[in-house]
Amino acid sequence: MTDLDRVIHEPARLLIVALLAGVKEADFLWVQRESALTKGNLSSHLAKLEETGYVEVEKTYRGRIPLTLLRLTRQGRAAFEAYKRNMNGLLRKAAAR
Amino acid sequence: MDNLDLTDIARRPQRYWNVDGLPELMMGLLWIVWGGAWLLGERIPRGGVYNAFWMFVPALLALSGFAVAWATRALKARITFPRAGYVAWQPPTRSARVGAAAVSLVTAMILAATVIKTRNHAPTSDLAAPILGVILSLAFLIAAVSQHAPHYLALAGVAVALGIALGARGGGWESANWLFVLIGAASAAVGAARLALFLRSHPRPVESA
Repeated sequence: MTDLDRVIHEPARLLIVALLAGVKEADFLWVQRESALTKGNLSSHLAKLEETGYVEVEKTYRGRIPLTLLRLTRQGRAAFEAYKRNMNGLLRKAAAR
Repeated sequence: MDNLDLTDIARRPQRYWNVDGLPELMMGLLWIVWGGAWLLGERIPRGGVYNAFWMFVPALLALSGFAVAWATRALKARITFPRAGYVAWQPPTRSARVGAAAVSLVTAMILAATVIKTRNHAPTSDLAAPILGVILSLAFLIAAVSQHAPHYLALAGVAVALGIALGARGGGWESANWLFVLIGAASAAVGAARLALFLRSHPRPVESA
């Protein structure tokens, strides 16, 4: 369990990272709809992921409508891949017992 | 949220591509134009108009694929993204690009062989519609599996059924053109119905973030 990245291991943050891993970038609205998190909850998890350097948040405008773009950083992608490897390793070990 | 299926989550962006019915609608319209243009060209009396038609229209039809891809993205930016969120898809990997090119090449070779084999040969040209029906059906089948979109299975069934029915009716290459028009109409109808459902279930929010 000690190998697992605690930032990503939290279910809501794992969902956010997994969603962003499948795209080049996405906006706040899409991630909120797909994760079914509240605005406040998603914002706080994004702040944590941004602080760790896993997610990049870009606030911009499309016309006059504010647009919050989210993308995984290189570090975030590497951390997600490492998390999946470690998790699969743990599951294999548990199955072998 | 306790049991996250990471494989399912990874497929969600792909599924999001056809959440609004726009790809089916635009592709259907494109096929109607393709089949319709060929049917129209065959009915023009030989002469200047006929020559001009066959000089320019096939090139325009070839370019229309790019135009439809651009129009689909533009419509998504206007209709889908403000309602359900914006997504920029990952560019395809090198192996995916090579795979798509290989499939396109094999399909083009099958089509070319069919054209050469059946040209000016009435009994075998009736095979064109069933062969095209099978090729289109396989394309829908691949889309159904890769995009987790069961409605493409229905379109795959329609493509095979129409191909067989039009082949049995005879008519050579004209049947193949009708196949494009009819499968295009089916695809556009499915797309329009899905777009109507999407618009009903996703009202435009006041602000996106």
